[in-house]
Amino acid sequence: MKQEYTEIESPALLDNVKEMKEDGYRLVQICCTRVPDGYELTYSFDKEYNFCHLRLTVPESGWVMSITSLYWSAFIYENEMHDLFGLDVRHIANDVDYKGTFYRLSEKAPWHTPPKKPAPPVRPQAKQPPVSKAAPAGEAVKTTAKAEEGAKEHG
Amino acid sequence: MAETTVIPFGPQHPVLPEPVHIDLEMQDEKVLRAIPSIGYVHRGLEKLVEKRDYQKFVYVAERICGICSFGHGWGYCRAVEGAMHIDVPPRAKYLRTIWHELSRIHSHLLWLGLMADAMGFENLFMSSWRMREKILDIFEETTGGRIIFSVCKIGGVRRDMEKDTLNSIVDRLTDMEAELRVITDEFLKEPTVIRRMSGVGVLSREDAIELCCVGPVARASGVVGDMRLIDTEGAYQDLSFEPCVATEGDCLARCKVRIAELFQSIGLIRQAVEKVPDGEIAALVRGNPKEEFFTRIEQPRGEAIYYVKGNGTKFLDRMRVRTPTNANIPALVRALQGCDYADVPMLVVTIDPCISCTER
Repeated sequence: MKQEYTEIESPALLDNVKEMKEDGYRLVQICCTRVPDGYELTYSFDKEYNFCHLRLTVPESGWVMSITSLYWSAFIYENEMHDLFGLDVRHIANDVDYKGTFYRLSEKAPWHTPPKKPAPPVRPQAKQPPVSKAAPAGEAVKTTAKAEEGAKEHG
Repeated sequence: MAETTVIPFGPQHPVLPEPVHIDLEMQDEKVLRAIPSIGYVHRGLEKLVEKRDYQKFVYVAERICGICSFGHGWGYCRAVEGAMHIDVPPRAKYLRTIWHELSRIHSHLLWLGLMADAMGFENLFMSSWRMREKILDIFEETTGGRIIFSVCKIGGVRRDMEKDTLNSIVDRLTDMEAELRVITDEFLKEPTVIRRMSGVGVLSREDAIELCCVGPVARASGVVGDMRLIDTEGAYQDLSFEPCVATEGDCLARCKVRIAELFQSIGLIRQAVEKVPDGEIAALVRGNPKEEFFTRIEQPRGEAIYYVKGNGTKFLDRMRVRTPTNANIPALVRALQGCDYADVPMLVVTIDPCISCTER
């Protein structure tokens, strides 16, 4: 399946969506993904099995314009983005703007936190032989020197 | 001018198998406006992908829904396979197609039962579910599970089916076909059933297109759209079939489409069993997904979208499912406007709402 994303800027969203609507495309879905610097939104459309996507990135403190004026059925996805991710979606059609009550959740915007990359696995350290506290540093050097002499004899 | 009252419908209602709430603004017996709200059983499964190994997440994806569980597992696997450029062996594609079509029969029979129950036709309800049991028996024999199979994995399938088993499935479906005709004729020819459903909850073709409907709801309004026609990840390109379409757009048309799809699925399974190739049932999977991928699949209720975004580790950044019910709720809201209060339960059932899918 073709995977092409047309990158657009947030202010141009409505114009781009309007073009899709006029071309006879159907809104398939809107996907919100939390990225470290905000939200990545993917608007998917379909016309005669031609599947294409518009993509824009919204900063964390930013907002996005609703497309319910063009695709009324987008209210499902926009209310979901607002309720789960805490994204500010403005001017949702009055009759379907739930203002945070579409999903009845105990926690506000539970998916607001970006995914944390798991830490790399920590390898267990090899056990060190216990070093006696009483042994002075000089003795340890001597021991090493003796061991070297022994190795030469064997060699 | 009669006074407007608001009647809450659900989340607990005899006709609803799952909790959804609709506020009905009524004037006398007519519905002026319907305002749905969900969230009673929201589980946050999409978020869980950040904490589960992407290979083990197939088990979670299957649990999105108990009726189209195989389809959800398959859809997720397809998205990950696309992101990792894995070529699934042809035999696995055929086996997946057979199980998926069996799931469609099981789902539509379940819906027919619920529909009969919503109309108060208890005998037909029990007959439909009796037939469904036979499909569940096939699942149990071939996968070990009746509802959740866990037979689909990334790269292929876990279990193979012998030639004898495949032939026995076709034989049993052929036997079922005659019994199915008796049940479905009750829906299509019984005058009381026709009078109850005909002309109720009409959704025009223009409305279906404007509201971006999918699946049998869209096809019953004359919108020809079936993702299986362009599906290259299953065996559908080797099988011949035409989408089942009706033009009336009412409750009876939705019923007709689903009944036609029952027999269509039996035909598809028969063709697939004849053509199933020999070979491996799974491809080797190495590494972790780094890319993103969108895929779509024709579930029993309509087109479902699966999206994954990998980051090179075994945990995905994002998994998204857009289920068919998500796309059909706006159509339900539109169809409810202007209908009689007594028709509301039946109308809600005709879009085959799956709330556990919607609240994944």
